[in-house]
Amino acid sequence: MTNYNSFNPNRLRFAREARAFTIKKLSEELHISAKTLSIYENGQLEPSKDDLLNSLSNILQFPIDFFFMDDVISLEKTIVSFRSLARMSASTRNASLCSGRLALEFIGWVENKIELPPNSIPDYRYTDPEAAALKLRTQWTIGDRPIKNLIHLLEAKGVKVFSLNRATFDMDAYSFWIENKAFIFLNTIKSVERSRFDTAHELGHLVLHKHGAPSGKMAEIEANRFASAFLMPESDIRHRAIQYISLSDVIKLKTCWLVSAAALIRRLKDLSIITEWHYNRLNIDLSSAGFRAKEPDPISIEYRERSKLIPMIFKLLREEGITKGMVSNALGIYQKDLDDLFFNLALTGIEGGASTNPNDGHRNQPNLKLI
Amino acid sequence: MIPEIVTPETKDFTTELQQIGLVPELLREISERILLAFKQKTSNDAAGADGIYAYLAAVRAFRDMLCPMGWSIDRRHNLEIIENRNLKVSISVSSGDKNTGKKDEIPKTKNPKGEQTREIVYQNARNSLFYEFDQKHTSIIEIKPFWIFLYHIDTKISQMRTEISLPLEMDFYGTRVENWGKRIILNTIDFPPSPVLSDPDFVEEVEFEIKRRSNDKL
Repeated sequence: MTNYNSFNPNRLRFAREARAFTIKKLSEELHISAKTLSIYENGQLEPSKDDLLNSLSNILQFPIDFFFMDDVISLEKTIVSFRSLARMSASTRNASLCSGRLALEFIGWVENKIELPPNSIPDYRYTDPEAAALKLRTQWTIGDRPIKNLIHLLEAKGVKVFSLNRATFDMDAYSFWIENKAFIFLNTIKSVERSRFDTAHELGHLVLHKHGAPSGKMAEIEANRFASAFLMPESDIRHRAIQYISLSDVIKLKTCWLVSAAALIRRLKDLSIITEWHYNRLNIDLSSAGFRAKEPDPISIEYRERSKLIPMIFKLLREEGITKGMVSNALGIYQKDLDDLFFNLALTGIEGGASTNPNDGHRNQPNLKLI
Repeated sequence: MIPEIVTPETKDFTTELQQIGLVPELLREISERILLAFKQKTSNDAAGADGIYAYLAAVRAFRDMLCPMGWSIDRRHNLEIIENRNLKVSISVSSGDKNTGKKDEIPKTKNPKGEQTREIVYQNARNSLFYEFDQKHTSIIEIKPFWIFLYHIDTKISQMRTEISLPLEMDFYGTRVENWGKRIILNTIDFPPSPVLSDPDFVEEVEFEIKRRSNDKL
């Protein structure tokens, strides 16, 4: 890593992509030519005028210091399990990757100081998803019982769970492995049931596709099958579900596994508990009742799964007098960016130690240094 | 007249059904669709909605399953019919009383029937007489039997019973079919009353700890 006492062009590019700006759009906002901005991003010249730096800081909402720090940890798009990659715009994808990189910076900083739960996610490549789900439950000694809080379970097993960048909430979720550490990013404004399924889906990617293969649609199908089997184990489903099940029975029964009605109906079909016709019938009933757009008898958002790890980290830091503001200072970002990583996953009211005003872009030395 | 009874245990059960263009598996699927529709009723539905859903599903299921096999739709006023012109067989559907599907009892159609049902019962009775006459005199008379698929869903014992039977007599008031020439009784369907809804036994919360890397201050 290069030590930057001068302007870091890679950080300019990062900041632009994190805010989903094109070169053209940002250059217009800065009242400079696109070519000049490209020159800055390529490191051929550095912006020397303070007013330009101030503008960059204000528009991109990163402190000026941010642009003078070492490279942000890189994250290649090829290692990330994105759903619907083909339909995703480059700006959305890049903004997502940037929040992933900030999470890596945060975890890197934390792990220098705190021992987090070690990785216990096995590599079940080339295993049938249904078998992999069963095998993982056996390995984790959780049998076939329903899981109340999947995020807590995954954090205990070493997975780091964050919220998607709020600008990219049209995405579902994504995950990746880096240096034998597993990361999941969730859309935390979706229904509780869908968010749980997304979490299990991404766990499927982590378990089944650690080194990338298979990819594309096949990988998504496998991750869905894994999620379904992991959340709704066959033996428990067969114990509770009935053959001639009605939609109202499905709506009652789904609360046993905290899944959506649609997910349970699909599981019943996959286990041949219901026929293809019955499956179609239930789906028609689900749609005509408007339950595809609005989950019937939904789990209250009060019971949304939250992170257990993140509050534990900040509690330990606070005991040592380190506030969240000081952490964001150390990372060279505003506290809002740190809060966004935990949006709807953890309380974000632990303030202090740094400017929370994105327009306050004065260059300050971070009062904590990376060790 | 005592109806001729055919049950799944009868040697010619499948042949009897084949003669009217049906197979047991197909009737099973139709029965399941009726049952599912019956169970579709929610607490917000009107009383009797389950029976209406079941009837609508019965009419549709027969047509969905049989029309691709060359059967065609017929409708005589409010009587919904499906017919096989090659086999000269017509079928309508009706809910039956609690004796439906019981070989030692004689079922009746559950709800009052109208003029069209009386007409088909009369037609069957006439065909039956001509059939006997025809057997003796070998004259050429077209026989076009009209069958009724009877179904009864007994929620008390969670059982659905069905039969496909040839109606021959109406009751005294002319509103219910009360006797049959032949009854082909199908296998019963036992359905669990409701899903097991005991409180889920969730996995215990997995506890974990985090700690400072060293005794040094963070």
